[in-house]
Amino acid sequence: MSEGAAVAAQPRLLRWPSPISLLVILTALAVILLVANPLVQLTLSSLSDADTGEWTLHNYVVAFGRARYLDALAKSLLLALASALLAALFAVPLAWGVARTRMVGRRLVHAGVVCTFLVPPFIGAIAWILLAGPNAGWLNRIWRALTGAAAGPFNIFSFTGLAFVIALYAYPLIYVLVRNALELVPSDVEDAAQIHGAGAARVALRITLPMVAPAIIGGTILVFLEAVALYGAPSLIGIPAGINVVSTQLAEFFEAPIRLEVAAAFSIPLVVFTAVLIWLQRVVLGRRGFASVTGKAATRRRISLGAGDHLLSAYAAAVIGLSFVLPLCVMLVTGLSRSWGRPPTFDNLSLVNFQRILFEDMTIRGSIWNTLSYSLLAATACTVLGLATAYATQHRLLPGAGALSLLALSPFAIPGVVIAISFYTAYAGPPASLYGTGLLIVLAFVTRFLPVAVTTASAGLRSLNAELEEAALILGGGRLRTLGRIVVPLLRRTLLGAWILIFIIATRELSTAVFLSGPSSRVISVLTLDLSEQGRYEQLAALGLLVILATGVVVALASLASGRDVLQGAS
Amino acid sequence: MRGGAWLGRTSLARRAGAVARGISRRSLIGSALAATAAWSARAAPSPGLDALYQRAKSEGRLTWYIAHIASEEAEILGRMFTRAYPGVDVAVVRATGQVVYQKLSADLRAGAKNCDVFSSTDLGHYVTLKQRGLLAAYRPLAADTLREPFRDADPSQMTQVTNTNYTSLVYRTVAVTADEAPRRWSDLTDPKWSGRIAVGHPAYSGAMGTWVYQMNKLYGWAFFEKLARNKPQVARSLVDPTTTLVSGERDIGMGPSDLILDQAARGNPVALRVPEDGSMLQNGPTAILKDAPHPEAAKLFVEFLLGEEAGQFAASRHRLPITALVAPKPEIAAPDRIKIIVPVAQELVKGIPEVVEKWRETFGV
Repeated sequence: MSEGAAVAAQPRLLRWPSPISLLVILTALAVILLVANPLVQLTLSSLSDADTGEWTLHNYVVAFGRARYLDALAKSLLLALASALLAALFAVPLAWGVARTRMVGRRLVHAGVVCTFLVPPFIGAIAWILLAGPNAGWLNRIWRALTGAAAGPFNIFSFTGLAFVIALYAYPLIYVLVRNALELVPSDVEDAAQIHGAGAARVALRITLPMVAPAIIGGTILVFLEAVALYGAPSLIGIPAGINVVSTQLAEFFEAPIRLEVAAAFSIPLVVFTAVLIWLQRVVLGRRGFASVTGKAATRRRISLGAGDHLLSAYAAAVIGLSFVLPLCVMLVTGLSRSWGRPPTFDNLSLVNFQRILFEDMTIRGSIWNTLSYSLLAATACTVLGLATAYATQHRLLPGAGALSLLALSPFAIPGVVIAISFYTAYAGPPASLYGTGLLIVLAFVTRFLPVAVTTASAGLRSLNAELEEAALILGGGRLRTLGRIVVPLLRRTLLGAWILIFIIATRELSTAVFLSGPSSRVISVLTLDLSEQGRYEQLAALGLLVILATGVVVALASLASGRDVLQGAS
Repeated sequence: MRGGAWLGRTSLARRAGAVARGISRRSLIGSALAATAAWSARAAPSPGLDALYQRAKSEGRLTWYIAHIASEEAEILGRMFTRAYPGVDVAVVRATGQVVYQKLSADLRAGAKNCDVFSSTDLGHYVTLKQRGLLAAYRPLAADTLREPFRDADPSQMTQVTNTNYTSLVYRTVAVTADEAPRRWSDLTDPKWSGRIAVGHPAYSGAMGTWVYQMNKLYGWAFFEKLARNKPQVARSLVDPTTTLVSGERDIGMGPSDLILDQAARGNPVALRVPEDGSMLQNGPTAILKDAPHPEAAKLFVEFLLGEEAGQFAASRHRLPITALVAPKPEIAAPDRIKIIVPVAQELVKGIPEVVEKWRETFGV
């Protein structure tokens, strides 16, 4: 923050009505409308009577007055904890292997993680139902054929199964953060330990990993929050398994007659809990938060593990096999069959599912288009707003800059379903009357992913030397011009990285969209959920493949354009 | 499209219809389509219907919240409608009964006018919607061509039955012989079926909610406590159990009769079992919203759902056609030959939410 402080110490450059002041005010206004207003409305709604509008605590009594509701809360926290720890177990060895060792096939492993990241969790859940359904799942069928046993060992419809699936599609988040952090750890400390006789494993466990502990813990907390917010996998796997979690419980409050006030009351403690979690993390780890460090580091060398190089590769192959290769195979086989329960023989082979999606079903085509366009819009708006917020707060261009920054980061602490409910409360009805429009979904996406944009942009801004901007300002360039001509071009890659990341997570977002989409604003995730009610896995598999393909193409194009790795730096 | 005499009559009507409307429509639709038996004209293209079409065309589209048929069929019907009435598109929003009702409630609470035509599976929805004054009354031009007892079934003319079938037992023929298969609903509580049953969820599916209400009435809640001990796989839609059986995941379950017969006819290893303690009549009503953004297109769509083309589609999908102009397939049992449970809409208004709550306590989700 030293540059920021230096700039702040200069004579005030923000003069009304300069263009930059307008931009700053608009930014602040946008953040207030997107984050503060829905949250305030949510809180107010939780405290008011549904019919009379009077103040009451009754909603809290209803929301927490039943063992089943409290059980959902406890289950959710337990599930999120299990998923987050499991995801760390998947991610950290891979990140370490790719960043620091001579593990075999590092680029392939990285590519595999990127591919996994393109798989929306609800599509992954569908693939795993096909793989590990207790009777019809492929793994169990193969097991029975091989061993002659009466029953297979896997049951996806269980707490373990659900936690496993959530972890499989969340671990890339931890991987990104940890790998980026590891890339920056210089080798000299490791060398010192090695000189003193520590083995490779000891160096890794005692030296390297503790140095990136903030990234590991930060990533794990991020996955924890994602897991609490998740709606798709819990309804696909949790309902048949008899597991009720917060998101499905919130959906219950949202059933007709809609108990919005009770849903709000049920959400508030969750927001408080996650806020406390993030605060604790900051206290424990210092003010490093989720920001990754960017910049150049000292020399780094990869270490060789001997036979461990292959062992680690095998572990990585197993993780990626479970998260990407196996699910992709089963989706391909299922998407190409008429009935997934029957063997993949020729008379069961058909392109009919793809044909239906691409050429017949108007609803699906429309929602693919919606998904891509909303995600493009949300990613763009989010990146712009994130940069503006980061710039305004870093240069303290307005009073209360710290509060603005905190506000922009706070959606980290709000589960997607809660964002949806607060947006519904604030903007669905009059005067905004946005319900059923694509705009409402885009705005909710922008809010949900704003922290990603702000942290990335802040990190980028911090890495810029203030001299460049100061030079431009001294030469008479206005702030806006400096921003447009100096800052944005210099941060082009960082910003594009953030854009790509937000685009990917927007295409897979379900929990925010589920209560906000109307007939003409349905996205793939919502439609998949509706379609999944009927158990037509052949169509769902075909749809999943197309979604992964479509996202992959956009991401590949954007990566080519930015000349940057998809998952690097943007965190 | 099997069957004898009635087909002759329809093709005659079809020809008459085609002549009446002239050749231009036919060329629009394309020769391939016109050649297939799937295409048929409206029974008697009245001037009233043509005028309605003109008004609907100026609205251009409508949104249909639909629960009582599977999404694939809903999409097909939507496309058939637009083919029959070019210039009027249908946005199909298919989900389970309670989910479409949740969507409608979210619309209403936000004051958003999204839905034109509402087709649920929970009869209770319509009682509530009527009480709140949210439905429009419309006696269809096709009313006189409907089969008994669907003609003027709702004296207020705010709802029309557009779909009818039974909720029946289903079993997987490769795992369960006809002898072993359950004969009555009460057989589902037999411990020998532990881990082998698939059911829907009453909080999602209106038909499932109706079934749970009726079973509770018949056998008391102990029935569900025993059922829960058999650890059924709880899906959401009532369509799901049959697909779950087809996949081989479970062996017995319940589902809409039309779907079971359709799956069996496609060669999938499932068979329908008519429960001795009563097939549950599952009528699917359709209503036009009073504040429908496209009221004329909505009326035209209701005419279409009650018309001959939709009737033939229903017959081809093993359902009893609502229109008297189309005969059902021979295997559709006439209602007087099997024992029927007939739900009462008024009871379901309070009854379904109550059993949903009990279900959640018993099944945990």
